[in-house]
Amino acid sequence: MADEPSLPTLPKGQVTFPFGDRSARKRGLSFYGPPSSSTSSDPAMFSSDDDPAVDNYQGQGRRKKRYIGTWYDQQPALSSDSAMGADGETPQASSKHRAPAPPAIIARRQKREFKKLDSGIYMSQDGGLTDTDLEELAPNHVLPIPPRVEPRVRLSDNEMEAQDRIISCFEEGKEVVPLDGLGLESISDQILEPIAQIRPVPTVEKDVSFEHQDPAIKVFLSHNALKTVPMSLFNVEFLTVLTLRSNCLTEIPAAIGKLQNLEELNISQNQIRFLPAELLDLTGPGKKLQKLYTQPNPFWHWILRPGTFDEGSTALEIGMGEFGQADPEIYSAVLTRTPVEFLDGAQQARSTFRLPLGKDSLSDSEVVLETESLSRLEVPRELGMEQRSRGATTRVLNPRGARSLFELALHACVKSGHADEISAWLKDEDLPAGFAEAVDEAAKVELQGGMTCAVCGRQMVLPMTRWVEWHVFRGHSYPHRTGLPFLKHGCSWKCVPPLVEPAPEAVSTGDDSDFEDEDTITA
Amino acid sequence: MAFNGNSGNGAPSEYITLISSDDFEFTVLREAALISKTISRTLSNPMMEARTGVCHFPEIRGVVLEKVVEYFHYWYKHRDQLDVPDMPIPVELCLELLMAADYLGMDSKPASRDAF
Repeated sequence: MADEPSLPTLPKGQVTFPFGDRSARKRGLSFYGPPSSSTSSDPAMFSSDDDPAVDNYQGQGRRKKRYIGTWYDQQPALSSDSAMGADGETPQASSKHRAPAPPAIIARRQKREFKKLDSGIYMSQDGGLTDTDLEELAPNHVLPIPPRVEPRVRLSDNEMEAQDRIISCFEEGKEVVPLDGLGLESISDQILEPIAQIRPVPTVEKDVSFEHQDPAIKVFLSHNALKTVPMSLFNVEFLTVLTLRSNCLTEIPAAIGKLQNLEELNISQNQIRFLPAELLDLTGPGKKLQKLYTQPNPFWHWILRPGTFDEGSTALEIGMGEFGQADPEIYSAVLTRTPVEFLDGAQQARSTFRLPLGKDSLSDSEVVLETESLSRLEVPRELGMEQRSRGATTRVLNPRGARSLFELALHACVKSGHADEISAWLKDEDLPAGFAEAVDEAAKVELQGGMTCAVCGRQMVLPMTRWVEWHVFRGHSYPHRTGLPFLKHGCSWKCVPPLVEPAPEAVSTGDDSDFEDEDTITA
Repeated sequence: MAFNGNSGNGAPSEYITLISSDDFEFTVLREAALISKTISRTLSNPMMEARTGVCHFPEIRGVVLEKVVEYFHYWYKHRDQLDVPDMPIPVELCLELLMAADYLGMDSKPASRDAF
């Protein structure tokens, strides 16, 4: 150490604060070595500089100071607990004193400062670690799999505003949550979660006994730009009014069936083409849904067959008309339906009829679907073969028994939360067609809160049949003649709409409440 | 067994043996294993498997085949019930099980596609 050239004294005020400097000297592995004085191995060697700025080393051929042994061996004058700067000086303050000091003191101060530098880096300054340091540490200290970092939800200004409103409603016990006109394109579930916890402040009066009252939460999301209905809304048990008017929705999730307390639903002025069958479960006698505003929306139409109804009412009427009109006392009856689309386990259609459910179906033009008489059912050729060949052992025909292993595995894939990765992987491999599609479809179903069979009411991963039924509601002021399309799913090829005798007179009165025959599985 | 189209050497056993790629052997109730279209076809054809009741699956690992066998009995136990609790499937096996289910014909596909 003595043969090292001593450093020139630094000019005042030029000492930079060493901790923030990313170009700080690299700490060698020797730093972690055992204390040199007590072991047989070579003493640890390290070097330092009181100013780690890189320009000290440029072009001058200047060498770093080297120290041999542990750092505390270099500091005999100080007590052992002084590592965090016992002299209480900032580096700038110490540099002030340095210039007039004699050389011996300079050397001590330098050592002291070095010690401080190390402490600082070692404690918390990861900016002080160079890449090489990390590489050296990597085998022992870095986990083989980097922990999954949840992407930080960045809230837009609109979402912040929505959050403020929700929180103020929550704090003040207001049951009306106004989120309209905020221009929201999406809203994270996390923001909406407090809505489910809103409870009204009970009015306490003298001589009036306290009565528990369920909240009646009203959420207004009209005049936004939502593309999907936020799923956390369906966890709000006491949601009574939900307004989604004037958004960009294309579908209403099946989870709407969870809102058993819903009294009023407004989905007008969207891009909705069909409604989920689960919405029907909210209507009818004994159910709470009283008002359903649906128009205008580009709903699927059906062609009126000559002679079925009076020709004056064409499907085109449905696209126009007044909106925001109350449709009280909902009570539905099936008007007509499409042929049934039969699917296999990998979501490949087996029937000639196909519902336009793909991505390309989202056009502005009106879609007219073909219909089938309620008294007949077109089945694919495979159904007969299936009945002959396999009997009751397959889920295709028999919804009884366990789900197929394929379905179960698919369900596990989707539940794992990595459905997108899995489906991407399935696309790469040389696998039977439809695997990736099935995973995608199952993931979509899962995201929408599951799917139940419209015929036997069982939960399912993927539909085996699907069809669209147009329902009319008694007292529904609009549309009278064409009804509203509801997409229904069946969990086996036996789960198909029941065959009924055509009864056109039931249409106008809507009295035919037993159109949903629960016993069709046995048919 | 009525399911076995081949008379073979005497009456076929009530159980069959499935062997995985890593040589794990599973003995399964024959009737339960017939849910797999592939196995039922193999056993009904006049092949060696039909006589011996031993099927080799060089594509399926032992852990996966174990789960498949578990499914056979799970299915067999619940074959006529309407509400069946889902069998738990570990996430790490779900992809391989998806493949195995497809290979073994244990999905909701109509018969025609699988016919030779």
